[in-house]
Amino acid sequence: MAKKPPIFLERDRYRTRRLVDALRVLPILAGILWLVPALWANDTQNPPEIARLAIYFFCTWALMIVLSFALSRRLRHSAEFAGGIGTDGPSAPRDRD
Amino acid sequence: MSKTVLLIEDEPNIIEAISFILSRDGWTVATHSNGHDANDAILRRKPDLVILDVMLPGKSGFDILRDLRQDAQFQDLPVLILTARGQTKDRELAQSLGVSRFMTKPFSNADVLAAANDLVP
Amino acid sequence: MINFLISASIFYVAVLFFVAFWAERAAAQGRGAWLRSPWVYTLSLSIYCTAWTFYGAVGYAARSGLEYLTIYLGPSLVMLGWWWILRKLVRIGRAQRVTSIADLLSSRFGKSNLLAALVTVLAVVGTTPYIALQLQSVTLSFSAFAQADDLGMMGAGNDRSALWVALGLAFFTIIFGTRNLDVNERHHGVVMAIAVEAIVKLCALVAVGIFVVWGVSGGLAPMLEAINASPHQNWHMDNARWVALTFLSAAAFLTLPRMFQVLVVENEDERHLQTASWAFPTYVLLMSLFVLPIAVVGQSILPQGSNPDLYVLTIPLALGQDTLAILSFLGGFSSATSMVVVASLALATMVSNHIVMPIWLRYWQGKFSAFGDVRRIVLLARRVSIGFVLFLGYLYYSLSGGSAALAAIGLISFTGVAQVLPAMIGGLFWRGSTRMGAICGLLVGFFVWGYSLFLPSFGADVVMSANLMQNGPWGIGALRPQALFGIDGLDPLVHTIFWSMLLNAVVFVFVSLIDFPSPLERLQGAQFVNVFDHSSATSGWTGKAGQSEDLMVMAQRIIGSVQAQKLFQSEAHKQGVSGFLPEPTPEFLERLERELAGSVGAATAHAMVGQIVGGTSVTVQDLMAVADETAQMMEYSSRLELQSEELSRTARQLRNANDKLTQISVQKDAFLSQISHELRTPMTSILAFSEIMKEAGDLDRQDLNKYATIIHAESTRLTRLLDDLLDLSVLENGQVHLNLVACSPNDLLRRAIATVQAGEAHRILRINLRLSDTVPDVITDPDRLGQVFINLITNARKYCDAAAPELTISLTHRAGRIICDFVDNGSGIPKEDQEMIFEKFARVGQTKAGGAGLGLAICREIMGRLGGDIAYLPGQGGGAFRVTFAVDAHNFSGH
Repeated sequence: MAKKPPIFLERDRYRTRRLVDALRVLPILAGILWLVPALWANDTQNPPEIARLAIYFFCTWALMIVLSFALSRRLRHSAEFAGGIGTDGPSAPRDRD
Repeated sequence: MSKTVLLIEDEPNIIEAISFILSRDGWTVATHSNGHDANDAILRRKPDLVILDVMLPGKSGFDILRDLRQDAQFQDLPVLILTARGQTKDRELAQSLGVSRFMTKPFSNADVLAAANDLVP
Repeated sequence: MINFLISASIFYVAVLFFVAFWAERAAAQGRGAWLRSPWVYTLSLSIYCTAWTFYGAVGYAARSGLEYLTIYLGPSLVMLGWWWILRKLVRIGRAQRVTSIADLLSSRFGKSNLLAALVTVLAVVGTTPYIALQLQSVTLSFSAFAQADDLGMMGAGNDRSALWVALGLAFFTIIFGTRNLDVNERHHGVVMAIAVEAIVKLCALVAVGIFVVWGVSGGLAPMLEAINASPHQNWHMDNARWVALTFLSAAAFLTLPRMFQVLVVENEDERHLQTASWAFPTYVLLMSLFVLPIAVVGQSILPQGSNPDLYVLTIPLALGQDTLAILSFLGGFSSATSMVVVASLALATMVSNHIVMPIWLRYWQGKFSAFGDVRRIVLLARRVSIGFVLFLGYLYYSLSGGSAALAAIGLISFTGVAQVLPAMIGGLFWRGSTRMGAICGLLVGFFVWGYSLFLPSFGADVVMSANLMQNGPWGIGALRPQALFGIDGLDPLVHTIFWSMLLNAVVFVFVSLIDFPSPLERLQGAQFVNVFDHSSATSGWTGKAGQSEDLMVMAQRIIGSVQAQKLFQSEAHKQGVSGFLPEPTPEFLERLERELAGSVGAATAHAMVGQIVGGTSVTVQDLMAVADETAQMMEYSSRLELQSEELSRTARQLRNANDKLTQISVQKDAFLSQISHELRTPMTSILAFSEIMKEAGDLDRQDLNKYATIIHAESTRLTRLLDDLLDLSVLENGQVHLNLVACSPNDLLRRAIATVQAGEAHRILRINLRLSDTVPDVITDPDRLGQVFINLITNARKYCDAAAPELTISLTHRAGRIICDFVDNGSGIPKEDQEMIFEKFARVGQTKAGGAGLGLAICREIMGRLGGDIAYLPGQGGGAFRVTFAVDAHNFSGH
């Protein structure tokens, strides 16, 4: 069982990579969500009420913020744990010269 | 007419001492205290004897001696080198340049006087 | 009430000045950790929300329903997607010490100044109307109060308040924005004031919103009903505008000069982005949450025809909520002022770095000796630029006058600056993009914007004739400004965004594809695109030995002597060289250029280093490293070349070391001869005179006295020499006992000067003493330190060869260390002797000027014992020594 630790490390690194993937997907998801009302607008029979639209936008907006908050939280922890994730990882503080 | 000596030396106290010793013995003492125009001073004063220090501002005593010996009229002028650098190689250098007498500091007054009188009888 | 309003705003401005001043001080004293918190960073981003947001969003909502949301959704998208673009942008900004958006593009595309100047002009043109808009918002809100007071403020007064606001803002920006030169040193005062203003404007808008929802409408549910019952109920999304505006605001968020300033330049730590990624969207969400309710309530309770752009202010006023109205006024005031301050700061940096400095540099081509302190010139240029930018804004405001022309200007301005986007994104992600491509794309985009949106925005027959707008130039229908290529019926804004961005990007890509970039462009391209791969930059310069001093002279003039000396010393230390002059290795030159770029921009810094180092700046191996396509063999040969260069450098260092050793051995040899000379000379006089006194009985009293005095003086001289020798040997063996007490360095210096001047003065030495009040008392050995000071002053008196010798002694306190510089106006010490002067028995040249050459050797030993250092300081225009020591010598001495 002496060879276990590297597997844990790999696993952690793997998690961090997927976290970054999630970060990348987030703005795309937001962009799509904020375009959905454009489809509703085509429904000329039964146009959406403006108050409902507003509530929709603010709710999705808040949802995105919560997701972003959770992701950056986790990213910070995992980055601290793994000590950075290679060249494409979250940046360590640059040493001042 | 008394014998003349030109003392080329930059330490004021040593100038004072040598002047005192030689003039008491009847020499006429002239002094000069830097290296670069020392040869001119010799040419101007035409002394019977030159007493020369080595570490001089502007030009070293050895250089002054070398230049002096190039001049035909000073081929035989007696030159006494009096230096605080008494290593063998200094003495050898002085001799190769044609010094008449080489003495190291500190000196005894009597020795200097004897050397001077010896060089210019 | 108007008077109360004026006093409230003056009080508010005073508070802002105080906050900025206090933040600067805290940062200067190094106790402002909170200044560098991610919260301050996030709040500073809020300058995105200008007065156009604070007042204008409600007006926008009153006119076009929910469309105002796009202006905030765009930036939210950018922040949520920080991993894509912002992360890279910030990393590059820090790695390359970028000072502005123009500098970024210039640096990326081969440090091209043409490109930087182009972006600068574009930014000035795009931002000026925006600044005018802010001035207008302040005067409008003033007059809203005046109307409530039934004063009916007159037009002239309006103009005057705009002028006062512009002057005040120029004053604030100059004070806190141009205090230090290096943009990367960051403007803590400005950023802090902006953060405070961010809180004020958010609170103000939210307060008005809460009042409107719960105070006026009676709760959330009635509010929603009111919204659905309002004229907005028929609003539906215009899909094209929705997408175009979201894209536009996202693009502007990245490319607006002021946003770039706070996002990238003022960024303290890349990790702040993580916090801002959710905190900034939260901020704009809160800012836009109550916009629609305010608009709906305003439309229902205020009389027909009131300006919806001022609802935020006029609703509380109409309902008699004076306190809320004043809070709201301050909120709008904050939004306007913070935008103007940062925008003018960012623009001034660009104007001074990319327009003024290059002209100035060309004018003084190569004559570095003719330079004064370049820093003063840059700062002056920057201050004048701030005044100039604000003056332009004011001019625009007073010329355009009408509110109608300005109301639409926000989006027009956005579209203008967004033209930078293709070059920026291309530069960050595509190595093939070239300088020519960027320039052409920018020009095309800028032209389309001007032709189809900016100029027509003034209205028919103002700049463009109505005929031209109707039928196109020369009657060519395909060139009609608002219906290019015959595509009619598009919304004018969407029309311009579409065509300008499309043509811009197409031209950029096409020209890049057919163009061939210069080596420097390829080098920079690789560094930008692959910024996460090679954090250590590839080098660009090949320096020759002996240029270090010139470089130092130049660096001192640009980044200041303190910074420059620190930089050179740390580099020298890294290279294992003592003193201040490192080898001009490519790495060092690169680093130096980056430091300079932080002050004057990449293009200017590059030109300046190039003027000294000269020659080609990109070496073969740089290109090899850049070009992936290069064959393996060439890579190998370049490595060989690199190695041989390293070898020759090592050889040079070895040769230096060897020279020094030989010199030391020669000196050791000379030591005996020297010591013998130094001992024999006084001995000669002593012996001669004692003999005289002994033998000659006839001396009078006066002579005896004189000779005794000589003997005494020479004996003293001997003793001193022996003391020095012993002193040195004790110091060298580390057996010295230090007597550490607290004392004032100022007093020590004064005492040393007094001691030297009391002694016999062969020459007159003028001493300029620059003491410092802030230097604390130090714990040191006052006798030993005084000995060093006396030695240095005496040396200056002996060796300074100026006609009127002058010594300047200056004392400073930096980072727990005291620094004391002794600079004279003589010819200084030649480079080849600078290494040797601290060795024993070293005397520069062959001159003999008393002393055995032990003084500086003793000084060095003493300073070592006191936990300090003494070094020769090159490049000061004279002989210069720097003494540094710790405030508390306890930590260093052997006790």
